[in-house]
Parts: sequence; structure tokens; C-alpha cells
Amino acid sequence: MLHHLTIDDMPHSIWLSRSEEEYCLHHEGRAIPVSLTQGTAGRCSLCIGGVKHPLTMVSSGDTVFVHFKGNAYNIAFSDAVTFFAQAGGGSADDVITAPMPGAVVSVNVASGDSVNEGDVLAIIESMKLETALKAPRNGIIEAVSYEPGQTFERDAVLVKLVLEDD
Amino acid sequence: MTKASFTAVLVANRGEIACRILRTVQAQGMRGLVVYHAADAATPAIAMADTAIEISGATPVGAYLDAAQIIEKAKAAGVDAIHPGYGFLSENADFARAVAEAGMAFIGPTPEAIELMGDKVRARQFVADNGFPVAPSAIEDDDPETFVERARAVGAPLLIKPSAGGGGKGMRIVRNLALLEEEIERGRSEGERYFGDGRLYAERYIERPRHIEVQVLGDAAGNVVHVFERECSVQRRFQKIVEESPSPGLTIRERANICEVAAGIARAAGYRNAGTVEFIYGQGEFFFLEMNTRLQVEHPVTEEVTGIDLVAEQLRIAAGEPLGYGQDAVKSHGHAIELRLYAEDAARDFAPTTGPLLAFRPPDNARVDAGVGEGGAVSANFDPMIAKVIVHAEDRQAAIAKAKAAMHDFVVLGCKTNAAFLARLMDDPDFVSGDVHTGMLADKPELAADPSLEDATSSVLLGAAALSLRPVRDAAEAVPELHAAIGHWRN
Amino acid sequence: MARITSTIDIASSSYQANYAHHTGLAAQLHAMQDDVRHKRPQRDLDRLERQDKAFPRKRLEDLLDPGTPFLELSTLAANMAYDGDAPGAGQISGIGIVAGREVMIHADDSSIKGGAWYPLSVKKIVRTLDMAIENRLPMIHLCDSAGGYLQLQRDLFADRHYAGRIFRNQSILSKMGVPQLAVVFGHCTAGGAYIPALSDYSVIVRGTGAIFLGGPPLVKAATGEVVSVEELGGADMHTSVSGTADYPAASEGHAIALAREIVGKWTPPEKARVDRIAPEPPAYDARELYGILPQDAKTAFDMREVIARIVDGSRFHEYQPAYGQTLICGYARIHGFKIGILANNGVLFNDSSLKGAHFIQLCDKNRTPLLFMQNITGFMVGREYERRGIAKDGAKLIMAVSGASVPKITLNCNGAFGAGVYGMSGRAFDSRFLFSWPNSETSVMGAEQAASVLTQLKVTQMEREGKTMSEEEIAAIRDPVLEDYKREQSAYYSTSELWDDGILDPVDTRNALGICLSAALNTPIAEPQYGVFRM
Repeated sequence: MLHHLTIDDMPHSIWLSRSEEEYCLHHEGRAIPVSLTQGTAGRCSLCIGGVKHPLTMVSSGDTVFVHFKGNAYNIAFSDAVTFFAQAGGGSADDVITAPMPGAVVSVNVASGDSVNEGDVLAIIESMKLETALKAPRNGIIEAVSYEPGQTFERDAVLVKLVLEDD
Repeated sequence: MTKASFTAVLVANRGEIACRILRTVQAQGMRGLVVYHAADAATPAIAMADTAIEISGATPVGAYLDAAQIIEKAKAAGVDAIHPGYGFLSENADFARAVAEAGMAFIGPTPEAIELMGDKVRARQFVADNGFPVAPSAIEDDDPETFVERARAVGAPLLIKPSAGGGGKGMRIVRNLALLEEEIERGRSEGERYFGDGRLYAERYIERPRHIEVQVLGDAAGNVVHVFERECSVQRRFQKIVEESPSPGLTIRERANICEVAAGIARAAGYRNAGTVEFIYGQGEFFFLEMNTRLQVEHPVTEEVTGIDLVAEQLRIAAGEPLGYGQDAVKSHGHAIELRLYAEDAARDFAPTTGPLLAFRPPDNARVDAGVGEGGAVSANFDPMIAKVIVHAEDRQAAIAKAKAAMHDFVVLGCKTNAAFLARLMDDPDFVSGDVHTGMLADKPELAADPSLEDATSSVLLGAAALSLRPVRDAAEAVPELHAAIGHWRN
Repeated sequence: MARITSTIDIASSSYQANYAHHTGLAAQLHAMQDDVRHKRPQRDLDRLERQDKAFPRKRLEDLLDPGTPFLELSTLAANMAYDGDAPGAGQISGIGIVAGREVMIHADDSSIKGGAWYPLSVKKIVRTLDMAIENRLPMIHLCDSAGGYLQLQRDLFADRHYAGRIFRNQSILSKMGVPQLAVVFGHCTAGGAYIPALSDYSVIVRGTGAIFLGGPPLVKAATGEVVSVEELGGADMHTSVSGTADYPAASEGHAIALAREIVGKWTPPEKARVDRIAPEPPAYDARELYGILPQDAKTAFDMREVIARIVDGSRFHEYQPAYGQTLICGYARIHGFKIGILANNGVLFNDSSLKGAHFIQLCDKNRTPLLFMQNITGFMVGREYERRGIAKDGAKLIMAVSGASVPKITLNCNGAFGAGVYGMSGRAFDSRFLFSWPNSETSVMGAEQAASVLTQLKVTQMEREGKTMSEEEIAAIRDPVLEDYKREQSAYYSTSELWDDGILDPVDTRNALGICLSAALNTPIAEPQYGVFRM
């Protein structure tokens, strides 16, 4: 089973294996020898297929940030169990996440409220624009995570829904 | 270097502009103080200031807008002048007045000038009354009987807008005056439909307009000079992201003309301190838009081409010193470009981004005015501009090359920025040829899109990530030597 | 150690003819394997898709660490049984790397008769577990089986090594402290329910996985109770109510990810300490084996040429090079592991038997695993040899083979006939692994020899009765015997019946042996101990 990574949200599957040189990167059906020479303060040199590339790299948790040829990239690793649990389980409709960082302007619902698809749950403000968050389906509000005035980051879970009991 | 204008100057601002102002304040031997909200406690301005004074508020922005609190803390700290920077309280006449009443100098224009220019209708009327160009217009309400004739007199192309309108609804562009009456009827009916109000307003429509502004300085004695223009046409979401001087779109004659008009407006207003007169320019015509009664974000462009430290001039003027030089002494040399580094995702419609600044390495060979540092973070609390990169070179082509190299070398990791987008912009043929206008980026959405990753680049990134991610490396190490040596093999 | 100097003339016509013949055999082997692995009626593939199940081979590939080898075992089991209805006996087994751990994998191939267990399926699973026990290999079961093939229950249920042995072996493996994991992708009904139940860990896929002693139809027939698959034995019931399974999974991918994480928690075993150095590839190309092996099993060739194309650096230290020359004995390395090789270079005589028995004891004392390379027509017969005690000397060799404590691996390179099979660690002698090359044959005697012996017996009997047989009558006796023997002594028949652990393309041998040697060292090597050698 390959490792699941994303480069700026684009999914990639890779594997790293040991090889005589040092390591081999398996990607898109190819195996390329790779090695990394670490310098100071995140400056390093990646040798891939015999060619050296200077880059700056820092890590935070399971995310690696790389500056390479004038571009900054975010390479995130997700462990396979989490990856498949998210891919296969639970409906994505159950959580309403922030499309971008911003602040909550108003909240129209409370935990336990029954809502219909399309109901406005909250208004958020981001980039000087107000956006209405609407219920993606009928359900019961399980939790509202923010109060008016609070700021949130991108992908923050703003509202959770559960299925309505029949 | 002149003697210190004040003993202690408080910067009532944050981020890069706080640092910028403190730099000059301290260089001139004055004490530099800054107010800060706890959310900014770890920013460079706090480290740089001789004294940092914490202020509080319901929100971080609210703290910086709290005039009473800031004045109280400033008095308690014994400062003799307050610099408001830009934004926040910088164009608040009441604040300017309150600062003066509290016995401190407000580093900026008089409250009256702020009030005049802060009222867009009054400002426009003032400029027109003094014989300077404003966009020709006709307001139906003034005299409904003559509206059509007056609108025709404005000339084509013409923009008709509902008086009660907004958001572009009911707006019609008239390029052929023969169709004027027909278009007015349609506009009226749309206005009634959308706003329940059919009254209209007509003004000159400028195709592919440029935003050109002129820096002015005036002293208490009424001496006014212009410090040349800045071209600020490259905008996204109505916000400037690239500024340069001189403008690549003006002839020598137009340049002299627009700068003189700006100085004339300031002179007519009895303007004191640093200000900026903004114009809309197109098809050889330019019209007054508004005047900003503060230091602009993009002021460094002017500093680079003229060698004038605008903050130093502000301090001197606020202390009552005369300009001490005439227009002839102000020279522009070479070409300067400023690129605004934003924490934003150009490919996602320039949506702001947040995150830790795990690496923040400004480039060499460029002036970088930054408000954040490595180890800091970008939060959703404030404007997402995190730094300005300013380059200066002999000519525009060389400046573009320097700007591009600077963006290429600017390492920011942990929070997505528009650095790569700005570098791409420096290669855009229209930008390179100077053919810019305020709708340029909206017309070129492809410029904002992330270029697709080449396989070779993906491999480099994945290789680097794989070798530094423990789970990936551990999985490789776990495979017994024998099996790793055999590799993928099936019998 | 000196390199073996090859004297093969690759330009010779005999080499070229051999090469063409054996590459043809290898191609035929791979074509058959490919069919067994992938050729399925469309309706079976459609059924899997309808059930939201992955093709079993995909599960296997997803489970394994990328960039690592998988030694598949008994690929052609049952290829000559059940009219070809159960390719590979409907089971996949082999040694691979999961989360860095060496493991034995057994997977029901649900693309074949819903993963039903035929008698040879049971034999294959039992053998897989036997290998896991002998080599202390952690086991992963990928379960998706319709259950026993009831029409053939006679041959799979009651006897000592039939289905019950699977569960006995699972229990023994657990008792030994070797971990075991079951991933339930489909149904585990009746006996099959015990595979996850007897595993130390189990993962079950929600929606498709189910475990029960009796499925809904059987429950309805027995008690009248109407119950759904999910209620009766679904993932949520077993992981939250009965505790029969441990981890519920949202999908097959999730199940495999969980499985890999669980296996990653297993402490790798301490390997038995043997002499190992950095590996070195052979000095000669393994593909030359195709030109060295004769087209006819009766044609003599030098087994040193074969050894030279399998062992590290083609280096071979030959023991007693001048004595008992029909059995080559000596030390070499495979993937760095030092091994002792016994390879037939002719009929076993008294001296070659004694040499072999002695060499086995040397290796055993020296903690050196043994590789038997079979190319044997048998022990020498005749008055002279019986008087010299060929049976007694052969018994010494068999005693040594049986008693050796070090791991043994057997490779049938060409032929294995008669009692020679016993002397060369045939199936009955518990080699950890036994492989055949596609050209190899095994039987009590050669087909022609057997036909002539049986014909001769009949002719003699008829002569005693005063009758003579016509050529046609003799042929009528001889030809069916010849045909049966030829069929049943082929490597394909052996492997169909699981008399070996699979047919190997000769060029794959070195890697297969390396993987087997590594696996074999999971088990501590007992002190040498033998029965009574008849002196």
C-alpha cells in the first residue's frame, strides 16, 4: 500500500524504499534514486536521478513545506488509516467547514435545532464579503463551534449535522 | 540629518508600517513607541520599539481603533507625537483633533483637511470649483428636465447608473450617443425593478482606466511640492498589489501636467504634511478621484526614486519645520517597483490564507518592509498583507528583472503567499510593455491559476518530503535488507 | 572461495537447442500462471464489482509493501484437478513484506467459485499454515470464501490433514507466539468462521464482511428465524456486540490500512544466527540455465554449471571433490547466507551416500542450512552394490537427511526418481520448502522403466501359463502405463497435488531461495541430534 500525500491539495501516491545508493522514490510507476543533504536552517540539497536541486524545507507535524525554484509548496502526509477512514466512512455532508479563514458574523441555529436543506445556518465574513452557510441536507444541528465575532482558519469545522431520527 | 523633531513618537499602528515608521523615528534619535494588541505580541514591531504598550479591545482590530484608549496610554507614556500610519485612525479627524487637544502632535494633516477630503462629494466639488479636472457627470435630480441634454454633453462613452443603485445592477455603458435615450429608458426601468427608484446618474466612462496617484508634501507655511507620481493600476479585488514610479503610461508632458494638478489641489486645500492625490487616467484624459490624507502603503516607491524619506518629512512638518526646498529640488531617478506580498491563494480567487511562518527569508538586493518575522504567524485577525518588496533600478526593464528575482528568492513557508503569482506577473507581456489598467487581472484569470506541476517538480517535492517524513522513512527502514535489495519481484 | 569456471559453449547447437526448449517451458509456465491469476469469466468479475469487492490480487498488492518481493507458493495447485475449475485451488499463498515484517499470506480467491474450498484448497491452506509454523512466519488471512465445496466433502472434511487441520494449525501457531491476523472482506461461514475467530487480530469490512456459523438461509431452515446478514454476522455486530472481530473498516482500503498498521506493531522475531555476509550476484547469467539443462531428463550434465548460476559470485567450496563424485557437496552463499549444497551428478553409489551423510552432519554442526538439488535417477542397483551394502549406506544418508536440525530446502532441478528422492530430502522429509523446475519429473521410477517392468511381469506371468503375447497385446499393457506415468510424473502434476510448493522458472530460483532462507531463520535451530546410523 502506497503512502498518501498531497502537494497543495493534489493527491499523490508514493513509496520510499532503501536502495544501494540510499533510497528510491516510487511514484507513478517509476523508481528514482533519491538522497537528501541537509544544510542549516532548512536549506538542503535533494539529489534525484543523479541531479542535485537546492531547496528550502521545513516541517510541521506531518506537513512539509518546500520552497523550490521560486515556488512554495505544501506537501501533506496522511496516514493510511485516517486517509481511508475519511474516504470511505461518514458523509462529508455531516460537517460544514470554512471555505477560507474569516470571522463569524451571526449564527442562526443552535444545537438541537432541526433544519431543512438550504436553511441559512450562519453568516461568515471573509475578504470583506459575507457568505451564508446553508444546510447541505435536512438534519439536526449537533454542534455550532463558533460564536459571532470569533475568527476561524480555513477548513475549521463550523457546524456539525446529524441525521434526523425517523 | 536634522535635529530630532520630537522626543518620543508613538506609532498607533501595527505590522510593517509600524516597523517602517519606527525605523525613521529611531534613526533620528527619537524614542519610538508602539501600541499593540496581544495578538501582535510576537511581531517584529514590538521587538523593535523602545517601548511597547499593550492595548485591548473586543477584537484585535477594535483595539487599534480605540482612539481614547490610545491617547490615554500615549499621554501616560509621555510621548509628544503620534503617527497613525495608514488605515485604522489615520484618516479620523476626531482622532487628529483629540491628539492635539491632549497636547501631542498628530503626524498628518489638519483635521479640516482630513474632513474635506474624507467627504468624497465635498472633495470632488472642491476640486471642480478650483478648476481641476473631475470626471464629467450629470445628475438627474439636479434638473430632471435637462438630464438627457446634460448627459449627452458629458460625451461618449458614458456610464448610466441608478442613483439608488449599487453592485453593478442597472448600469449601462453607452458608446453611441444616438442610443442615449433608449439606454436611459432601460436603465430607468431596471432601476425601478431592482431598487424601486428610477432616478439616474450619468458619468464619463473610462475604458481600461489606469490608477495614477501623485505624492505631495506641504508645510504649515503653505509650501507645497509634488514628489512625482505612482502607477497603481495592477489591482485585484480593487486593491493595489503592484505600484511603480514613474508611470509607464504617461508622456513627459502628461506626467508634468498630472503632478502639477496634484500640487495645485493640495495648495488650494492648504494641505499640510504628506498626502496623495489619486486620479483615474484613460485615453489621454485624467480626472480627480480622491485625496488620501495619510502616508500610503506604496510610499516606498516614491522614496526609492527620489531619495526622500517621507516619514522623516512628515515628522519635520508636524514639528512645524518648513519644507526648506522647492519643486526644483525634487528629482526622480531610475525606476522603482513595489510588490505587495499577501498571505493569500491567488488560485482560489485571492482568498486570504493563514498559518505559521515556519520560514520567512526576505531576499537580498531588495528593500523589504515586513511586519512579520520567522517564527511568527499570519492570523485572520488583520489584513493579510505581510510584506512589501521594493526594488529600484536604472530603468523599468531592470527593475522588473530585479522584482522577479526578489519574489523568486523570497522564502515564505507555512503560509501560502502570492509570491509566485507576483513573479509570474513580472513575466506577463502586458505588464512588461507597461500596458496595464485596473481591470487587467480580472481579464487574465489564467495568470492567477497555479501552473500545473511538471512531473520532474513533483518528483523533487515528493522525494524531499518522503525523505523528511518519519512515517515514510520508517516504512522504508522497516523492510529487511534482503527484501529491500531484491525489490519488487514476483515469481 | 574459488569461482566455478563454466565450460559451457553458448554458441554450440546443443546449448541453443536446450535454450529454446527451456525458454519455451518457462513461457508456458508463466502463461499458465497468468491465466490462474487473472483469467476469469466476465460474470465472476461482474459479481465482484456488484458486491463492491476488489479483485483478490489487488487486495494482495495493496497489502504488501511496494518495492518488495512476494514469493508466491503453489501457484498451479489443482491445475490438473476438477477439470480446471479451481485454478490455484482458489487460494493465493506466499511470503511477502507487510509493514516491514516478513509474513505468510493466505487469501481466498473469491473470483473463483466464490472462494469455495475444494479438497486441494484445504491442502494448500494447511500446507501454508504448516510453513508458517515451521518457519515461525506471522500469518495474514484475507478471508472471502463461500465455504467448503460440499459435493467433495468426503475429501476435505474428516481426515487428519483435512479442514480441521487449518484450525488446529492456527491454534498451534498462536500457541507458539506467532501473531496472526484475519481481514474479513467477504463471508466466513461455518468452519470458515474460525479463521478470524482463531486469529489474534481481525479486521472486518462493513457491508461486505460477515462471520457466522450458519448463514441466513441455514438459520431459517434450522429455527425459522429470519435475520439479515448484517444482523447475523456483520462488522458492527461483531466488533461492538460479540467481540468476534476487533476492528470495523469502512472499506477494503481502510481494512488493508488497518491491517498494515496492526502488522507494524508486531515485534520482528530474532533471527537464528547463521553466517551471512554482503550478497554478491552470480558471475554467470541465470538465463544460461536454460541452455544447460538437457531436453531429456536422461541426458547427463554437470550440476556445477547450475550451481554457478545460482550462488553468490558463482563461488563454491567443494567438499571431498575426489570422493563419491556422483554427489557434489560443498559450501556456497545465496544472498549472503552460507549454505551447504548437495547436488546429484549421477546415480547414488555407496561412497556418494556416505559423503552426503557426512556432509549433512558437518553442516548441521556448523549451523549451515542445506540445499538439496535433485537430479537423481536413484541408488545404484545390482549384486555388487547390494553386497557392498548400498541399502545400508543409503539408510545412513536418509538418517542424516531426516535428523538434520538445520533448515533444509529442496529443489527438483531435473528428475527425482525412486529411493533417491528419500536420500535427497523429498517431500516426506520435511524440507522447509520444496520447489520444482518446469522440466523436472518425479516418480518411483521413470515412465519407460515402469512400463517395461509392468509389461515384463505380465509377459512372465503369461509365459508361466504357456501363453505368448503379441506385440499388440504387449503394447495394450505398456502404452497406458507409459501415458499415466508420463502424466503423473510431470512437475505440473506434482504441483497440482501440492507435492511441492510450486514450480519456479529457473531464473527466479536465487531470489526464491533467498526469501526462503531468510524466513527459515525465524525458527531457532535445534542442537544436532540423530538416530542410529547403521555402520
